Amino acid sequence: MNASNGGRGAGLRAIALMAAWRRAVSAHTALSTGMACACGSPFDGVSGEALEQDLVFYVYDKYRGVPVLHPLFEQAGCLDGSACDLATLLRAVASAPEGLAEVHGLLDDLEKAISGFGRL
Amino acid sequence: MTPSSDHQHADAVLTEIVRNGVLAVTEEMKTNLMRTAYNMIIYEALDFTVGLFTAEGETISIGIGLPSFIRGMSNTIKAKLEHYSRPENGTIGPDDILVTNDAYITGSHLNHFTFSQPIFFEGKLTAWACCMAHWPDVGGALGGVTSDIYSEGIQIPVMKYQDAGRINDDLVRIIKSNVRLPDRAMGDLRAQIVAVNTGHRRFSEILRRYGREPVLAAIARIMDHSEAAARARTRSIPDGVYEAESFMDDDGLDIGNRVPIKVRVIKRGDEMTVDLSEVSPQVRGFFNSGPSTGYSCAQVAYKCLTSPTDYPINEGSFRPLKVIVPEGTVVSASKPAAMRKWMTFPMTVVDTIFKALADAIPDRTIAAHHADLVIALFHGVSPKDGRFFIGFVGPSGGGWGAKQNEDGMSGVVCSNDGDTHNSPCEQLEAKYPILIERHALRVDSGGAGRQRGGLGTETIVRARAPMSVDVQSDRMHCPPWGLQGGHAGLANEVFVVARGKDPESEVPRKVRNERLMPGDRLFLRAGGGGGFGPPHERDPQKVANDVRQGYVTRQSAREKYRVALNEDGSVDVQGTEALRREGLAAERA
Repeated sequence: MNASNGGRGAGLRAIALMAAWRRAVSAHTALSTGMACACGSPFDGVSGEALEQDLVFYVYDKYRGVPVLHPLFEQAGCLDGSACDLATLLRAVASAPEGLAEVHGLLDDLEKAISGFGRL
Repeated sequence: MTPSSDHQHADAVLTEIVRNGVLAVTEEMKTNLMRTAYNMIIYEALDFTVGLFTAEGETISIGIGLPSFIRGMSNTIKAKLEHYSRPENGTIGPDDILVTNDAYITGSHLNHFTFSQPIFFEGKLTAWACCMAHWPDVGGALGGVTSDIYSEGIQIPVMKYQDAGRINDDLVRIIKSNVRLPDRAMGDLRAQIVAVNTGHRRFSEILRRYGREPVLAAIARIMDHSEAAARARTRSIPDGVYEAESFMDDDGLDIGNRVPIKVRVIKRGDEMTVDLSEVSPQVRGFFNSGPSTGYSCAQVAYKCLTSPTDYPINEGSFRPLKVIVPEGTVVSASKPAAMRKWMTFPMTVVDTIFKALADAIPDRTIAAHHADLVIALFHGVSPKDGRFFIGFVGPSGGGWGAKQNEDGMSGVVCSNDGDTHNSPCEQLEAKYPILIERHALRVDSGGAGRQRGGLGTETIVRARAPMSVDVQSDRMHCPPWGLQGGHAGLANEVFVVARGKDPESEVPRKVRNERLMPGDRLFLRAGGGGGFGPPHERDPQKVANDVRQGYVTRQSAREKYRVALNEDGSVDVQGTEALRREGLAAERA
């Protein structure tokens, strides 16, 4: 457990992150990135679901080689080429044994990505 | 027919003062909007229009951002006047500001909020200041192809944003509750109010200085001048009925189901009718637009053909033009047709009108252009800093059609998008985990012709991290046609190539939220413009120069232009003569 998680367990952090993600994505349209396409709706192609996939793929890509996390990805159905959702992954994280530094590392990364979402 | 008004005796000097005055007013409205808007789509991409209109809603002057907006505001003001002509709806007063984003009135999509401020002078409604601008978010579903207007966001019918100087707080709260980023929406709303206030203030100054009646007489005379110029140019077009047809790839939902665009132009005397009755019925996907856009298509083409440099853009220019757009076509859609990508099809309608008139007035028409943004949206989480990114590559510059007396322009954004900017490769690479492997003109993409079509561009984007990409381009199966024997340019092409795979085996298609892994590549190829005139009539020296510049291959020079080149790239005169003789003989045979 490191300083960034505020002393909370992985389960609580996972639940809080899920709530943070839901809040962020419901307000999202990434408008501050601005333009590029005159007149179209530049963000027609973006959905909260697609961005959630980005998030899950990111942590999967980064941590799939970490042996203690592999069962979590497996439990959540996050295997190469298959789609899994964030809720399933976080549910798997919440049920993982406490005290695994790698789990908190994964949560740190999710937290960083989600907290930066509003600044897009 | 001569101009019908009785304003021939308006003072000539005052007329010119007013002509430049209204241009200055609309330019200032435009500048103030750009300086105060919150979103780049307004202040960089110029996705807006501002203008001054008569008391009846006729266009006095518009400071246009994008060409397709030429009609929307006038029709919106007329709809507002019609609404308030009914006693049960109240009346329009001096300190009112009216609003709507009704897509079937503006002709485009719900993102276009339109504010109109009546200009009263000496107690009489004298003019209108109006501003239509694109809000990046108006609520509605994110992602996917919408199939009705209800999933595209909040709909504000014609109503008052400000009533006798008092802001309608209920309306503001409703808007704020229905958009995702209300602070930004309110920022753009205030910028639009600044724009119409500017128009109101400056036009009132002109009225105060020169008087109401003289100014209105001068405006009427400006319109009469524009009408006379347009009629004179129209008269010079041979009478007749002209038709042309083209098609769009599909509507985004029924993939591969072509959408026909058929136009008829009837020219009699000094009047022209553009009949869009046989343009495709409205479609299930989100490529529809409203009747104002059907009119815009005809007006943009007519303006280009008759009085492209006559300013200000005003109603007089369009008096000789009649437009037939029955309800329910893809450019006159009715509720609840989806409208979100309204801007894609009208560009091809405009090009098709030029095509119809190509034989009648070859000196004034232009071959077809690539007619699409060819823009890619990509998103993911960057491994560099662990943060989300969302970015664009494009819009891509494509080729424009050749004209009778000049080659088409190369690498220019499509006609709907005016002066829109794209993003520099270096900036994209610095911000996002992508590598722009190539950004270059597409050799041989310009349609061969006596005048060559402009070249499109090819952009190859290599993913350096996992990401998703979405490209909704069209016109990949209807290439930009040539005129008068000129060849078609290459069509737009978009596809994804997995790492290590051969790009040549890929089929161009719409790319819907596809996953890219590191090393995968996205190919964005904007089409070239159509050529004008038979290629074998092109000056061989120009062909040799095209080969030297890398615009045309030696093979095309020989096969399409029938030009033989020496080893050093110079023209083999005898060889060329022989090739062209053989070609002509083969054609005759």
